[in-house]
Amino acid sequence: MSPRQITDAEFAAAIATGRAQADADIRAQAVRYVPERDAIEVITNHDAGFLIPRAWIGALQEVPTGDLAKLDVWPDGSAIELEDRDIQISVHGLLTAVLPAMLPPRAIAAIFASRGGQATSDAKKTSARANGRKGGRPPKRKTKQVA
Amino acid sequence: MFSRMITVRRMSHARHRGEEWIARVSFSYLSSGTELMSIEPVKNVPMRRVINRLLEEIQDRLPDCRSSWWMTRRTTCLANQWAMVRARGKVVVSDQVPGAQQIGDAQYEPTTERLHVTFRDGTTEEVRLRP
Repeated sequence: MSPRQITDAEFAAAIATGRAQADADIRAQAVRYVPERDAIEVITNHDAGFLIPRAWIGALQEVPTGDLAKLDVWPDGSAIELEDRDIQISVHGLLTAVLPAMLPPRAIAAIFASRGGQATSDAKKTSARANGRKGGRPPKRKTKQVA
Repeated sequence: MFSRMITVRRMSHARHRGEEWIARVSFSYLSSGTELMSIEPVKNVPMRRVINRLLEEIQDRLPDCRSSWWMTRRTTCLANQWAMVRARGKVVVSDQVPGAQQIGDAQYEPTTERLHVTFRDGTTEEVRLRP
């Protein structure tokens, strides 16, 4: 069966999706093995870096250290790869998996709280407009009045 | 009434090492079509005809793609999806509508290219993917 040819619109949509993914995901610019720490250094698209102990990355645990010098980044930065061994590791998946282990639980909770507070929604917008018409958010009622 | 069709698809990556681009292409265990999902990076985007040739090649080698996915992931990603049994051996993924059944498990046999679908109500269906 001859497959359907993709249209210009589908082609453009695929490029747009790729661009959106690149903005939304953590991507790598560079990767290298750091022998003195037995760790993998990943430089991300924000020019930040992570040093991840090799023991935390299951796919690389059995790889001889000599082969780790061949670690490479995919052209879009979405994965790191050892081509000879057919090992590909998603950068976004790797970092979202190891970050909770790198940070204390209170720090993670603070990040969630901060990001959650910045979130907007239709319900929040509707509520803010309704409060605006009343001259601002109504004061919170005190549970107990003292005479 | 039956509403829009859904295909539950697996996404694989094709990397062109010379021109340094990545195309993400999806395929399914219940339909023979392939679909282009995304291309990156923007600065290295190939010609459309190159992508069409890639999709054609993937379609030609769909049994290999299904087999590789099954061997490495051990899933068809069909569990918990809703599907209609149109006829004996003919299963189509659908919305949750009257007549649809929820898939509990779907195992793939690469050598025979057969899919064994077990629904939540205990009924089973065998789908032959080789034409």
